[in-house]
Amino acid sequence: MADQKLTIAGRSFGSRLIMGTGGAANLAVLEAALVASGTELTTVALRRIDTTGGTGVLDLLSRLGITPLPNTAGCRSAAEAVLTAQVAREALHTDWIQRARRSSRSCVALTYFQRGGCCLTCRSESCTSSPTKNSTWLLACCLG
Amino acid sequence: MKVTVNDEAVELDEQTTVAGLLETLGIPDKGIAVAVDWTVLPRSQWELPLADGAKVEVVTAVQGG
Repeated sequence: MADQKLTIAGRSFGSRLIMGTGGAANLAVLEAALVASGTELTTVALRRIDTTGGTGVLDLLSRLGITPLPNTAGCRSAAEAVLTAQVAREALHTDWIQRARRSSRSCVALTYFQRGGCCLTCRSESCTSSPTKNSTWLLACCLG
Repeated sequence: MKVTVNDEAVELDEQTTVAGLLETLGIPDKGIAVAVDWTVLPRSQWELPLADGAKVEVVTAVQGG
């Protein structure tokens, strides 16, 4: 299992570990963690741009050859999750989204994604299961 | 005309486009998405003029998740 590549929608990754970018004190710490992990796929959040701060995390991931995987962190409703997915597709040129589930309302967003494309990876729960508050599952979907 | 960009009021010349707005604000066009009045605008439409009162959101990827 450990030697198997992770393949999603026909795209293979040498590492099966998907990292996040939250929690690191600064980009240097984040870079060290990403390099040490060997990950090739890492989640990012989407927020209003800070015109004084630049897009450091994207530049970092690009330099390390790591694919950014946008997530829906912070979304409070299905509508926000769908809008975030649309924004991510435009900003990052990807049809993938990692959905961070916060409430039952977000399940509608998941259903929407499944209709539009294919549910590829779902960890520990079925897509139609009753949601647990604040639980998170990992879900990569290609939006058709 | 006046538009809002991420809730900040911005005064622009008439017929200013999204691309022109980004240039005016010094926002690089890489790794961002633009929504106007809550609709995501594809890059192919960034040369269309903004309307007076438009609510513009400029979004990018940040650390998180």
